[in-house]
Amino acid sequence: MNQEKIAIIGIGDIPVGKYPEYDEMELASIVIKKAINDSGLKKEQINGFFAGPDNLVPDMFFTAWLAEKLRLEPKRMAEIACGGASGTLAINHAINEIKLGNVENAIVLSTSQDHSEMFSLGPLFMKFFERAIGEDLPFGIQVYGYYAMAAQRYMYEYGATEEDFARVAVKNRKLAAKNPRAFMRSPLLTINDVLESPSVAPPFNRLDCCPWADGAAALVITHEDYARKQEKSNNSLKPVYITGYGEKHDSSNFIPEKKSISTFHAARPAMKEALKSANIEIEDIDVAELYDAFSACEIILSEDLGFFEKGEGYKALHKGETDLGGKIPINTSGGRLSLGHPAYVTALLMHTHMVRQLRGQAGDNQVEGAKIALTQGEHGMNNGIAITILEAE
Amino acid sequence: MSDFQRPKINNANKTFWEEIKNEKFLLQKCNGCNEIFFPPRIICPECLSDDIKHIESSGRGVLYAFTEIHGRAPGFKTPFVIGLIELDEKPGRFLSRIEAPYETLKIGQKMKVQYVHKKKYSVHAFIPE
Repeated sequence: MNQEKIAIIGIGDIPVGKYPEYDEMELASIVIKKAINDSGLKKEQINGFFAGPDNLVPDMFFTAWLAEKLRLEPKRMAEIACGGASGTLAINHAINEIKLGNVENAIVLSTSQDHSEMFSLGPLFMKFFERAIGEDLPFGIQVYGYYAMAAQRYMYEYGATEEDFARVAVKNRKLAAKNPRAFMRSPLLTINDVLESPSVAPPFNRLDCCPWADGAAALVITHEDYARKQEKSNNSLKPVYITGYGEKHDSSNFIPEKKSISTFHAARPAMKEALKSANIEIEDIDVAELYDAFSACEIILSEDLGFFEKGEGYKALHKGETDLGGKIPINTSGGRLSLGHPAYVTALLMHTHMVRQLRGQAGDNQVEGAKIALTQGEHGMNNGIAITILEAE
Repeated sequence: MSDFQRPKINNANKTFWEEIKNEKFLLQKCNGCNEIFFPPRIICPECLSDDIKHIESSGRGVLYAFTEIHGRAPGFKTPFVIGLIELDEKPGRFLSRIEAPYETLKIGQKMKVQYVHKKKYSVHAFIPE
């Protein structure tokens, strides 16, 4: 990134859970209001509005309808879609518009109602995927099936066991128990609980898989100069700066045709770019939110992003190096496994959680003295990855 | 509830699925750069040429990874086994149904194609060789 700094000055979210009585427009309105209030800005000062997709089948007017509901009049607006990376990509779009001088203060929003019906091969899912993976559909593939095969290859190549994967679920439930915004806070789990939960697709049992849930989150993003002015005039909270960004997309979306599937190939180049743009070393990162849609993913990502050598991630987990108080605490929110996974909102929930970490507001899961945080959005089977580095002053 | 679903036909895969009925497993080969690839496309993914021909695969390869679907799979009878196949012609690995008990399978074992004929369509599956 160039020298100009971009700051997050407001966050708004709701606990991950089930909100059947609300529609996505209503959840969006709630978190936008929260984020604007948190920033101390007036609604009229928002002139950029960027969102992730509103649903698996977008209505094409989501941001426009919301602008009407809340009487926003943005100079720049866009809905940006690329699976679970959408939120991070929308942040990047906001950063660029601010740096170009087109926008002063931008809202970035994501909202998601439970898509569980669609994500197992329901009729809508079929419609959604048939263009892309038409040759796989006659066989009944499920998204979790692709991940299960990646995990199987990881076990085969690096000697990990189902118990090693179960440890991710145990750790993340323990962290979620202390996060009032998490969906799955109880009961605490043992390795046996995970191993004895119903098989989904070996090596995964039910507790190796994230629960679908509803969620919504919004950020207010602005230029450093505005952030400082705002901080002074409003006596508001210290800004958190987005100092690094990295993004990479492999040529595959789920199954690399020729490369190994036990490595997520976009991770390393995205991380390299993020560290370089933030001008930091990986050791400088105090806390990280990784995309653990399935237990094995957290381990594989902890290696492919460079926190541990390949094949060493599950051993580091066993030693507590990724737990609170360890070398690099991972998923102190409870992660996708226990925070819950409203797919399009996850990337922004990683940001609201990390802003709390860097403000010292993460409660019982506070990483002491956290100054630098990493978030990682993804699409496909982590085949596309978008990373932000966040820093407290 | 069924074992398979009818393939979705488009320009790229029309010939492939027609020949599955005749028990032939077709790959594509680019006349421009000689790349062999699968699933079917209308443009070579390597050099973007549209001068592509079909070639017949030996239908033999190895099992790269596999799992058994026990979870939600609307429309399908569970459990069933799926896997990733690497054919000897190396067109890139792809997903297929595996017609063998999960417990008996091993990564890297040799596999061969077989064909399943339904009333209105045919599909391929792989079995241990």
